[in-house]
Amino acid sequence: MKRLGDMLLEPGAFSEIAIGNAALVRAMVESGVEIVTSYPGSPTPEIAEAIRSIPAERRPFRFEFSTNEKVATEVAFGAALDGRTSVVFFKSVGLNVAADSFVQLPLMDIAGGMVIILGDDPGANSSQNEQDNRHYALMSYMPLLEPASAQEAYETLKVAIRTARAHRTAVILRLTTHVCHMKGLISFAALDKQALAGSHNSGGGFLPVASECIPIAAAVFPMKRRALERLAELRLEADASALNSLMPGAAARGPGRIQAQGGSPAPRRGIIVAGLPWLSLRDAMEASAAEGRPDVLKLGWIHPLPTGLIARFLADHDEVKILEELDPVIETQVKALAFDAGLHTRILGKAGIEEELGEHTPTKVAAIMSDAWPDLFPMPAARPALPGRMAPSRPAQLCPGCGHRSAFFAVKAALGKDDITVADIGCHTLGHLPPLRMGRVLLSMGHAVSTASGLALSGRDLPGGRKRRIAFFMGDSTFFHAALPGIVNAVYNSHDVLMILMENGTTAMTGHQDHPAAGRNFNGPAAAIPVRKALEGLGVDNIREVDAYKQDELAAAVRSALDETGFRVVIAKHPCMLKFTKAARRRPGFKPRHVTIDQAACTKAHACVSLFGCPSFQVVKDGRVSVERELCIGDGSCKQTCPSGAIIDGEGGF
Amino acid sequence: MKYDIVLCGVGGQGGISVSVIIAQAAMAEGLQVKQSEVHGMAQRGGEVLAHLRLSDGRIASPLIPEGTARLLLAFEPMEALRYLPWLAADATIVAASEPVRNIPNYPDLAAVLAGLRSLPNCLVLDADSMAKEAGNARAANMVLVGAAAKHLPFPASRLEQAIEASFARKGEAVVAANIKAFRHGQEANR
Repeated sequence: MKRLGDMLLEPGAFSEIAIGNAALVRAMVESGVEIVTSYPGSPTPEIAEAIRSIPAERRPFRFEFSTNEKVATEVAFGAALDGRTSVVFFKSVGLNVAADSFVQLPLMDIAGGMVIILGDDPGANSSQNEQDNRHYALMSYMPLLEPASAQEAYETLKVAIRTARAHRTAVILRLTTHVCHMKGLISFAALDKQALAGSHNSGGGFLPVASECIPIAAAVFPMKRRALERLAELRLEADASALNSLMPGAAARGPGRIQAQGGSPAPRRGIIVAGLPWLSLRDAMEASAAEGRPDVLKLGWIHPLPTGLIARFLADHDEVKILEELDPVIETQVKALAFDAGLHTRILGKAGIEEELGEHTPTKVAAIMSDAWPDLFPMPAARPALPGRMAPSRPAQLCPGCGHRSAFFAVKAALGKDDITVADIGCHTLGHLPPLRMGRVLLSMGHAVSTASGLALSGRDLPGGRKRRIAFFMGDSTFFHAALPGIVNAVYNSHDVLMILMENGTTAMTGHQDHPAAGRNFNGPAAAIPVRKALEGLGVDNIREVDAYKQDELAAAVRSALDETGFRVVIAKHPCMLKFTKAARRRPGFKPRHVTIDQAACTKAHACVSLFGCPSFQVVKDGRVSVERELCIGDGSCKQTCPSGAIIDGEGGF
Repeated sequence: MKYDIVLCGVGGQGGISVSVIIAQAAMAEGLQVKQSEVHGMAQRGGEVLAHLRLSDGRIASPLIPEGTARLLLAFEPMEALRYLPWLAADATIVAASEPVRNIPNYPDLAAVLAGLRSLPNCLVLDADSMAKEAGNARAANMVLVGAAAKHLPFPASRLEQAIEASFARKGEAVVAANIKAFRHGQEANR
């Protein structure tokens, strides 16, 4: 098996096993993309890992993690405006952050062409919602292509790049979680050096006068007109595109259509499908015992829809089922199309709310199709009950030794029962789980500052003439991503809020990417922008900084800060122990460390389990506490939480 | 021929690397493979799941429909119970007996193991101890692959070759310990 980095630069054509995210990088290399940007977010960070596998000196394009998705989009836009083909990638909800600039892109003349790779997350596997970003394509007049598999992801990105260049515009490549993470054998084309040389800078550079792009007032209309005209041109391309395919089904019993009992011909049936649900549908069709099989129109062009192709498909069928994940985006357009064309095809859309929720897995698609056409998709017989019910869910949790847990424990001790804590996005979101239950409301990245500001403005009085106090949590990567305007606002408008900055030195949840305070960027050493200095620069003068493992000190700092007014900050600092422990394990001579319970001293109060909640501690049958040695890293941050001092260093302890 | 495998466990147990080894062995045999991995929050003690599909024809979805998997490889016993709905009636289960207790409501282990053993074609192994006997405590996943080997649609030698290729970069001792763990697993399911 080839190393990934070599594979991505292989000159000849080849086939290799790869995940969708890695295959995308080969498409970038083959297409001569020059600038790539991103902000980390599942399901897309493995694209950056694949880029990293190419040694920096051999990497044919420049890549950076920008500070947020809007910044990443703007950097990619600026480069493409000057004729360099660019790609920006991020997760579903990242588009909300990028949207202010993103929706303007189709108004622009983007000489180099740019592609936005969106990792949508039906099923909310690792996101705060499962928003359907196809809506954004419609509202911004931006073309959108959607592959169903890893092979298609690679091929469709190449089409997206060609289209973006040819039309001097931005194109969306929409992926979903399992397309990003699907692994299989992929056939890659050879690198075409000549084509590559020709593609570079082909669109010409930005000219300070002639290239002016300022959509203000009346100037918006010619730009919008162009965007709409471009969509009309693209609709013709979509109609002829090989990204859509028509797959004839099979009639039941011989060449003729099955005769229904009344003697009338059986209805001609077809399915319109796109993305991963197509693969699920194929499974459902292969599993079906029925003889007949509907025709399938599988779409790769989602916006603009290939309306000519769809109209012909509708006209050729009596009944058409639209099978799409999440929202009825294709369905509503197809129904409008049928109305305009005066077609009487029976169109079966979403049958209910269930069809708008979650992923269209093979199991779910089989059920949906069985509801629509039970004769073609008979449901398999129900199976006997299994003993699986005794498996409770095992949610993601703060790691053993996590500084956030230690910080939450200390903060909780300092808070009064009426105080409110606001959560933000990052590993520390997991603090909302029992037993810590820190952070009680969550909107989006960086929201916590201003949600807390609003709660503070509301300012409910408590008995005794006190005001309810508001604290919020913020991670260090999110601090740079989206918290800065909220912080400036809170300082500027004198909001009485306490920020507890959970500083672990990395972007931990998405796989330990560096951030602006880290002193490194993707490409090497970089100027560090320490969070404390940034805060001071913004006019914050009330800052305390405590090691998150020093719980008494941290609780005292929070207690004092809670009683003060204005914008206050307590920095609870500790390096990410998952990252730290992983690095330690790789060093020669590493000896695992654990804490242990002094069973003679233990009073079975169980504070380590019921208040601190480190997963390394388990209460066993007789009420004793055991330490799970596979989990415990021996950090000892738990020792302070035991009222009887029964947690002690085990062999080799810290 | 179609052969769908559900691999499950808890983050950090090496389930994904096992999936890669089985996939490599299957490809060497000329089979097609498709695999799905769920990334994201798996490192943080959450459940980890991979679907691996093998076939001599084309494979559609990377996800296995419920009720059709032929093999469940579970690196943790409670996780094995979670994915039973994916199994065909005649499926084989190979599960490690050592629990990962990182939740406060972990059920009674004896009941979990009894639940597993009540199922037809279920082999529960103390893979951790067997891996230690083989000289590499981290090779419990290879013990399970060894125990499952005879059910897979290709010769066990393909798996040994894939294990060698997969660990070659880590040196001969690591390769040998993993092969030994694999053979311990095979012995346990003669």
